Parts: sequence; C-alpha cells; structure tokens
Amino acid sequence: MKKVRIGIIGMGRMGLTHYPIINTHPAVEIISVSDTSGTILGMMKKYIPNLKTYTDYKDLLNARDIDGVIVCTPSFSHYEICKIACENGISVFCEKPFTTSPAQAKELSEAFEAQGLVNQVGYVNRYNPVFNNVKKLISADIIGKLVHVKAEFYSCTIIKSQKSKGWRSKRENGGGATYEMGAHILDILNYILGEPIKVYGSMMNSIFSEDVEDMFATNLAYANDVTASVFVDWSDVTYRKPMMKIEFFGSKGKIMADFYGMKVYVDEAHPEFNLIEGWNTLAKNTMPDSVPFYVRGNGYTHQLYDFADAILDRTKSVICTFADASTTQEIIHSVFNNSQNL
Amino acid sequence: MEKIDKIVFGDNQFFGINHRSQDKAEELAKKFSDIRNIIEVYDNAFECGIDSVMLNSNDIAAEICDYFRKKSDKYGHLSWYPSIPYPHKYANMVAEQGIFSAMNEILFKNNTTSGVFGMIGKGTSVVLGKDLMKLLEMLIDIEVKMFKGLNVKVIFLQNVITDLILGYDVKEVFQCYCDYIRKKYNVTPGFITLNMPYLKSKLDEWKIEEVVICSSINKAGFNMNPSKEEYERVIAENNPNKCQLMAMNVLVSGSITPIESFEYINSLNLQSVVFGASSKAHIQGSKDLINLK
Ligand SMILES: NC(=O)c1ccc[n+]([C@@H]2O[C@H](COP(=O)([O-])OP(=O)(O)OC[C@H]3O[C@@H](n4cnc5c(N)ncnc54)[C@H](O)[C@@H]3O)[C@@H](O)[C@H]2O)c1
Repeated sequence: MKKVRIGIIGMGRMGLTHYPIINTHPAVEIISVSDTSGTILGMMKKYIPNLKTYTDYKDLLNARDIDGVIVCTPSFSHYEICKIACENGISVFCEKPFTTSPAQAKELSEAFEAQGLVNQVGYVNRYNPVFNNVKKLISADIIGKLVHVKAEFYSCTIIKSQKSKGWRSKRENGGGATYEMGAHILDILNYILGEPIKVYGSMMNSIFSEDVEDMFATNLAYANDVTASVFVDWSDVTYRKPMMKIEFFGSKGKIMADFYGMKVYVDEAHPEFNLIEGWNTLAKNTMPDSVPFYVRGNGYTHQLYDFADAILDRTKSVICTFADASTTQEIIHSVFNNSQNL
Repeated sequence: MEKIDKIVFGDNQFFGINHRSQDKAEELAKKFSDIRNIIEVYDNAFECGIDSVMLNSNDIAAEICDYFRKKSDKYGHLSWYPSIPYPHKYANMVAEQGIFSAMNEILFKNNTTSGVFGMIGKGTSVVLGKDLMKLLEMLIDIEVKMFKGLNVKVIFLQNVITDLILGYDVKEVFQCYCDYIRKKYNVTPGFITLNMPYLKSKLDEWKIEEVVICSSINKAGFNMNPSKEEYERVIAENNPNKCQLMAMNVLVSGSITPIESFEYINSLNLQSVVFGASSKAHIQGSKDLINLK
C-alpha cells in the first residue's frame, strides 16, 4: 500500500490529540514531530523509538522526508511554518485560526494552490452533521427566504481573573475570545452563508482577562438582504461545556441548531427532507456518523483522515481549504477593525 | 477470569450527561447537585435488585463513596466498578496551565494539602516527564483513593484516556496499567472505549488478556466506531473466558425504545450491561428487560 508520511509540529494540547488520530490511519506513517520543549520530545522518543524529533521545526521540514505536516503551534507562528512547508513541497493541515493576518492567509492560499499541495485548516465544526444538515436545508430554501441569523457561542473557559501567561494572553499571538472561540462560529457562518458584504458595529469587552477580550458582539450583512448578529462569551459560568447556538429566521419557517441537534419549523411538509409540517426535532445522535477511530469528537477524525486521503489521491478534496479559512480570517479582522472598545 | 456482574448501575444521569438534550441534562444536573437526591436514586436501584455500581472518579463521586462506606452494614454487599480518571479535571487544568505544571499540581500540591503521605516520597524520586509509567501509577493511586474500603471488582480506564493513548500504539502503557491494577489493587483491569474493535485487536496483538472492555453498544449504532457491523463481528468472535464485554449507552439517551434496545443487547454475546435512569419505574423497567445469554 502507498504510504503517506506525516510530521507534526507543536505537541501541545492539539498536537497530542492529533497524533493518535492520524496514527490510526492505515496508510499513514508518522515520521517526525517537533516541539520547542525537549521534555515532551524525550518522553515520546522513549516509547516510540523510531520517531524523529526536532526542537527546531525548520529541520523537520527541511529533512524533506514527509508528504504532509500537521501544524499545531501557537497561531502567530502558523504563517512562517506553512511558508517553509510550501517551499519544501509539503502539504499542510494547519490548526485554526489560520494566521494572524488576512494578507498572510491569502498569500499562503495562493502559494499552496500554485504548488498543487493539499491545504486545509482545522475548523472542525464544518464536520458536525448538524451544521451540514442546516447548510443543506438553507441551500434548499426550506424555510423560505432567509432573513436573519442569530449566532451565539458560550463557554466557561475563563471564569476567574488570572495572570496573563503564554501565547494566549496576546491578540497578536492568536489569543482572546475572538481568535480562539469566535473564529469557530464566524467560520460556520462563512460555511453556511458564504462571504458577508459587510461586518459592522462590533464591540468587545473583557471580564477577567488582562490583555484580551472575553466577549464580543458583531453584525454581518450578506447579499439578498440577509443579516446576522453574533455574540460570543467565554466567561459564562452557566455552561459546563462549550455551546454554539445558531437560529435561522426565514419567511416560511425557522431552524434552531446547536452542537447536539436541531429543531426545524416549516409551514408545509417536505418529505424529501423527512420534515413534517410544524416542528421537527433532529438529535445529532440520530444522524448516522461513525469514524474509523474516535478520540475527541468525530470531526477531528474526519478532518485528519480527509487530509491524508487527499494527499494519497489528489482528486479528493478537503472541506476547509486555505482559501475558505482566508475568508474567515478577513471576517475576524473586520471584527477587530470596527470594534468600538478595547 | 472472575465473572463480572451482569447488570451494573451507571452514573451518567447524575452528571449532566444526556446525549439527546442539553436542557434535560442541565435540569438533571441541578437536581443531583444535592447528594441526597443521588442516594435516593441508588436506593431505588438497589430495591430493584441491582447491587453493582459504576462510578467515575469525580468530586461528587468522592462524597458518594464516603456515604456508602460509612453505612457498610447496609451497603457492604455492593460491587463497585470505578472508572478513572475524571477527564474534565485534567483537561481544565491542562488548558489553564499547560501539561507539565498541571501534572505538577495534581501530583504534588493536591496531595500535600489533602495529606496523603507516601505518595510524596514516591513522587520526589520521579523526574516529571521522564518516566511515564511511574507517573501513570501515581495518577492511578490518586484517582482510586476515593474507592478505598469498597468492594471493587474492576477498575476501568475512562474512554477519553483509553482512546487517546490507544492511538499512540504503545503497548507498555496498557501493560503497565493492567499489571499495576492487578498487583496493587488485586482487581480486574478494564477499559472504556469508543473504539472497541480496534482496542480488542490491539490487546490481542499485545497478548493482554483477562480484562473487561466496556463500550457503547446499541441498536442505533451510536458511538460505535468504526461500525456497528464490526462490533457485532468482534462480539460474536469473543471468548468471554479471556475478555468480558460490557455494553454502555444501550438506550442512547432515549432515542430508541427500551424494549428494542434490550432485545438487541440480549441477542449478543455480552457479559454485562451498564445503564442509568433516574426514576424507579425506568430502572425497574430496564432491569426487567435485561436477559443476557
Ligand atoms: N480546533 C480547535 O478546536 C482548537 C482548539 C484549541 C486550539 N486550537 C489551535 O491549535 C493551535 C495550538 O493550540 P494548543 O491549545 O495546542 O496550544 P498549546 O500551547 O497547548 O501547544 C502549542 C505547542 O506548540 C509548541 N511550540 C511553540 N512554538 C513552537 C515552535 N516554534 N516550534 C515547535 N513547537 C512549538 C509549544 O511548546 C506547545 O507544546 C493554536 O493555533 C490554537 O488556536 C484549535
């Protein structure tokens, strides 16, 4: 069998969970990992003797012995790493947010396409069957003419004052509620509704964090008179687990979706979509979705297997390309640029 | 190997886990923030004739264990099936402080304050991060502590951890877990997983036997990876003298009828089933439907 040789850069929270997922892909061989921390590399090397370990990611990329690399370092470093990967002809799966500047995102997107390399960003919610169902129903105008979307994302990530520490304490590095959490919901709106024509009236506030925002609100306007309002708060103690709630208001009905399922109201039956007139409830666990190997959510497996499969067979595509993530990057920066406070 | 109990009462209903509805989960979490309401449900389950309990090692579990330990005359006959660790505790700490300082806090600070001697001596000899297996043993001790004095049958490794380390394909970690659980606690090691066929094939490859595997098994195929068909194949081929299989998530938080759910479970070569419910009628109803081969 043809093998896909993979390297992973950044063995923190994300790297440590991406490794065991992609390691189970039957065609994948993990060749190398890189982290600036020697401790984690030493530990891995001890139990996985054939693994090559590098404290400098450039050495990993310049070794030119891999087909693809998974980038899970702090977000500000993604651009440099992707650039050097591209120069070495290596396909990239990069964690979100893609970069910390829209210009860099666009540049990378063009460079990878020009080289014909697989390029993908880890906006994992694009793999949630609930949001894919929503996308399908919205595209089919099931709720009539879409008028407005209300999108909210809550978590109890930061619920006490804490000293700023590490890369997460600075927006320039990719920290803050907008980059870390908001990026996900802005990307889902981008996935379902496409690119907005305008982002306006944003506001931000911090509750516990010293240097970054803990919440933000923004408005988006789309072609055909569709509007959206977004509210993100990662300091909400009432949510034990992160919760994304998106409501779609249409002329003939309504969709309410979250991570776990959706409710659809339609003013007439749509047998082709299995919808009866009135309210329909669809739980996520009734939407068939299994993965070859589960670690922390089906989406994480789907996205990494897609990456490896696309390297094996270039006719296959991935769901979130650098170009898709560049659009999300622009939306994120519009939010920053027109914010009234902080 | 020692036979495990056929029916085990689980704990998901107490801790805000409901795969179908977040609202329902929140409502239950509120009710069960008062431990008396939890004990009431247990008493109902015991009255229905269930005398085995599966419990994840979270903070409330420590209180639950205390309660049953103190009343050993009434509850001494119960069998316990703990699962360790409570993954959210670690995930939150790692998120806040990074892996190494979180480890440091869990292993050292927590224990000095709670006054666990012995562990500290062992701890100082461990250079953090250098010897993963020592670290694993220390973490097991910390998590198992709350179940001390109870009649423990199996100690399960919680699925988030099992599946994470399974993907690394390192035999030593699984071997170390099993050896330590047998040697130190003299009970059967168990694994909870959402990848049962994969885990089973690895354990076979590594010649690790006499363990219990607990995994989602349900008619809907929910959380059965890679597929329901693979599960059915592995279950049919399994030799229960070498590895016992326990089903969880049987009811998929209510999306299939109990009759259908248990009919499916009863038709398979399974040794045990863990389920949870909060009303006595539901507990009795489910219990009466379980009839493993
Ligand atoms: N998809 C998601 O849901 C999700 C969730 C969390 C984080 N993320 C993203 O994943 C990325 C990593 O986040 P994390 O939570 O794993 O962070 P982390 O701080 O836990 O891990 C980052 C790791 O990168 C290492 N590192 C830093 N600079 C390096 C360099 N130059 N070369 C090699 N290694 C280096 C660090 O030592 C650390 O181990 C970020 O972009 C973040 O936004 C995505």
